[in-house]
Amino acid sequence: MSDRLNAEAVFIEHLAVIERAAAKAGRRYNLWGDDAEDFVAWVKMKLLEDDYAVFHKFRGESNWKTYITTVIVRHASSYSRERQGRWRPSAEAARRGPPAPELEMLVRHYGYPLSQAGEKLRTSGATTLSDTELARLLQALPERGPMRPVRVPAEPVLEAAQAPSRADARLARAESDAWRGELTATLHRALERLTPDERVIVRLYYGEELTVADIARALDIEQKPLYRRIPRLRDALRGYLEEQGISAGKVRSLLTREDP
Amino acid sequence: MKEPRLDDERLSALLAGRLEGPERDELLAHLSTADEDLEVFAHTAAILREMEEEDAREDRGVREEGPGTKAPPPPPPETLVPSMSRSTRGWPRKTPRWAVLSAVAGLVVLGWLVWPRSGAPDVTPLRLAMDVGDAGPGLPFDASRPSQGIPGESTRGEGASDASPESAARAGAFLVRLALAVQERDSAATATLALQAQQRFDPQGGRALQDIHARAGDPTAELQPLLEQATERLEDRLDADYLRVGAWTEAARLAARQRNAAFFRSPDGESMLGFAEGLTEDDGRAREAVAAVRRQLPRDGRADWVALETELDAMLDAFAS
Repeated sequence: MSDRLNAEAVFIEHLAVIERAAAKAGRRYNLWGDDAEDFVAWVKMKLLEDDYAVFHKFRGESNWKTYITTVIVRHASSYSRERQGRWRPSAEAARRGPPAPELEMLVRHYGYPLSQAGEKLRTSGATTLSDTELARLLQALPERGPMRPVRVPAEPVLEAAQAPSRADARLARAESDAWRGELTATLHRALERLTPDERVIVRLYYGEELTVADIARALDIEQKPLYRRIPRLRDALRGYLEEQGISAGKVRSLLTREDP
Repeated sequence: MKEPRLDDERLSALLAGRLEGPERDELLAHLSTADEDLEVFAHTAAILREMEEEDAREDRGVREEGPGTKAPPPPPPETLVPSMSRSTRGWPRKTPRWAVLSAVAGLVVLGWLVWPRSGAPDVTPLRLAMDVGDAGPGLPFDASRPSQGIPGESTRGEGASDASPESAARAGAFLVRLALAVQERDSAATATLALQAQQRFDPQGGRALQDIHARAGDPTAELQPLLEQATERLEDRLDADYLRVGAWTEAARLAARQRNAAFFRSPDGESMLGFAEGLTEDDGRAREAVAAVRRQLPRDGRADWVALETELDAMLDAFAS
């Protein structure tokens, strides 16, 4: 009983931190408006579950704030996946960077009208672009099909399978897939040549697009040397890829391929 | 097969800096191949840093300026529109009004001639210096060693030739510092910078720079036309595009050092970065440097000033050495 009271006291004492972390986590996982509020409420309920089980699991290997933030982010990840399916921004949206992925998700996934999406983005500080500018941006992004399978009549599929021009396109796509597979395997080999620290730095910077300051914080390392270290790592990877016959031009042509 | 998930407390121990040696390496090795755990790690790190900076700002009572890894100096007064006001303040009161107006008109016309609107932002070292100077009095660099920090200065004689693009970028950086020294009426820094610029970039001629060196103690209003002449001459002798990029980058570096948010509100920044990007087709390092600066530009009043300053250092380094 006293354990429960202690856990409850800790929960109440840190409620502000919990709510802040939950709000930020929701934002990072593209949960907007009502979804974001629902998530904050939901994660607080999760923390209360089984008599504050999460709190009792804390072994003291870390500090409390970092621990609870990690738990909340983990919950945000699964909550978002559950709600959004496997939505990922299109390659074009990812290439353009914010607010393109967010805009794409709000309009093409959630179905918000452009004006509402624009208002949400501006209110949250994600952009200062006008609706006209956002409309122009949205026009540049590819149309996306629904994430869940839909029933497709067989005849068009068969016709597509038989048309020679479609066959050429499929062949080109197959070649592109093979090339992409080769590139991925080579990139993996390139990364294997780095130390674990270096691999994580590369993935955080280029994959997760963390700032250098965030990477330094995450790995508890000096920030300033990272500004030189990251380009050196990039150059080392590029050098290896070029030795294996993979040039920037080839990679660029792959990346501009349309999403399925 | 689903990838094995890391225990949340182990992940948070790594974030809290509680792990060392083989234990840390093992976790990092796991993160380098585990997408979901890496994503959670990345988001948690970013959120923690945001919250720490918000708490620090609240403690300091700072309302704006944005995050940084060290406490910034007291925020400078911000102006919305760069103006000629600092240069007029430096002019002696006895200057007749008509002389002031004709000097201003002359500068405007000279500035237009020197920096034609050929798709590049219409900014001059003089104008950039005013934008930087609007943040407050004093030189934002060491007046006793006024060229320190400009790439290539420590290896003078070993770098690229006079006519190289790199030399032009360095010249641009020099001109901004010289314009600031003139604006601040720091005669020692003015004399040193003018002499160094003349020796490095225009050793056979450079009459305007020689005059500035000789008259370093003269009023700002009398030196600024000479500065414009010097700029025009260097643009003729060197690569004007790189000179322009070097000038803007140096001004931006100094502005970042001052936490001068107003400087970065000007649309010239984005224009200049776009212009600089256009020069980097064959230079991956410079292209990356420009992209890195763009990522760090202040947004919605928030900036990581340390990061911005460092990326601007790298950008000037990429163009000027």
